[in-house]
Amino acid sequence: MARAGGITNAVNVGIAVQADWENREFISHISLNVRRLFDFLVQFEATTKSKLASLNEKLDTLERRLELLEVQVGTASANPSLFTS
Amino acid sequence: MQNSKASSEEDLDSESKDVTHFDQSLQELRDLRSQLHYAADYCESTFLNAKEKKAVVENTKEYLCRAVVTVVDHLGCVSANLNCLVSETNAFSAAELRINCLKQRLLSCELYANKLSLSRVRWSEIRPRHHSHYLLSSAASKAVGDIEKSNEGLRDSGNLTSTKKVIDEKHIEVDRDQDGNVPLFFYTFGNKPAALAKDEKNSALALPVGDGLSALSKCPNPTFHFQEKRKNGRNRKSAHGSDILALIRRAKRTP
Repeated sequence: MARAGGITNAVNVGIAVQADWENREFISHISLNVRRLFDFLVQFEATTKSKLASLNEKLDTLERRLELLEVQVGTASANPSLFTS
Repeated sequence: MQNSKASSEEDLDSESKDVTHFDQSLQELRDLRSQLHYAADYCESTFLNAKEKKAVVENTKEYLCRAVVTVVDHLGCVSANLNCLVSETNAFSAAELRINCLKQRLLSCELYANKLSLSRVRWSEIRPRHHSHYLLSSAASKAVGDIEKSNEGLRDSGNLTSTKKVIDEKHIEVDRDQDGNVPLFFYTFGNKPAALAKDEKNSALALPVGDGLSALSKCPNPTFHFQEKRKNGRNRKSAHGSDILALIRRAKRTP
């Protein structure tokens, strides 16, 4: 009886260890996927920042061009005698 | 124009749809965050209170897997929408094209204005004319007169007679100008005034001269005189022929 109880205890410990290892494996998988997700988010933030920076630069250039055009149109409209023959 | 308006309306509709999709995905991700926090608290409480903890752990594992999958799905959706919105630069290119068009129009207007101003400068009717005519002040004219006097004193005595002649001629010219008309040969020959004094009948034939150029333009053409002489000769010939014809007629009548 004592031998059988020792075997069952060993089996139970083995099952518990196996379950523990399975749990650890599951947690490692989950953590790995979360890290991948984090890496993806960091990379996505960088690419989005660069794209937004390029868009901001384009908008700045467009605004400057528009300001220049406004000034030129203002000067041309201030001297209408230039266009009257 | 209608096609462009329709295309612009379609672009605006698609952009508004993308924006609404992006907002919806972001809102779902925020809701999922709160749900995950609530699910984690529920799993913890059930694990502590439950007798069969193995089933609770398995349920929690399944829920965690599904939650990670849904989070990844939502993140992918949000990132795709954001990437789509950021990468759409058609509006910027259109605005750039419009700005370039406006710039080109302004350049053409500037060129037109420059052309107009240049044409005004080139073909102005009231153009200022600058003659080589200068007016000296009184002090400057006195200084110039003194210099001329000193130069005249340095000249030879032989030249004095010629200068006197020239001065006399100039005096005569001035007197004639004051009267009105001056004979042409006053400007050409120096000894003609004596001849003019002798032949006052020919003075009526002399041309009135205001200045040198008008005298040149009004001077009689020698070829014209020659033609007039020829015409007189022909008239004489015709008169001589008429006399002969009259003599022949008389001769015919007399018998």
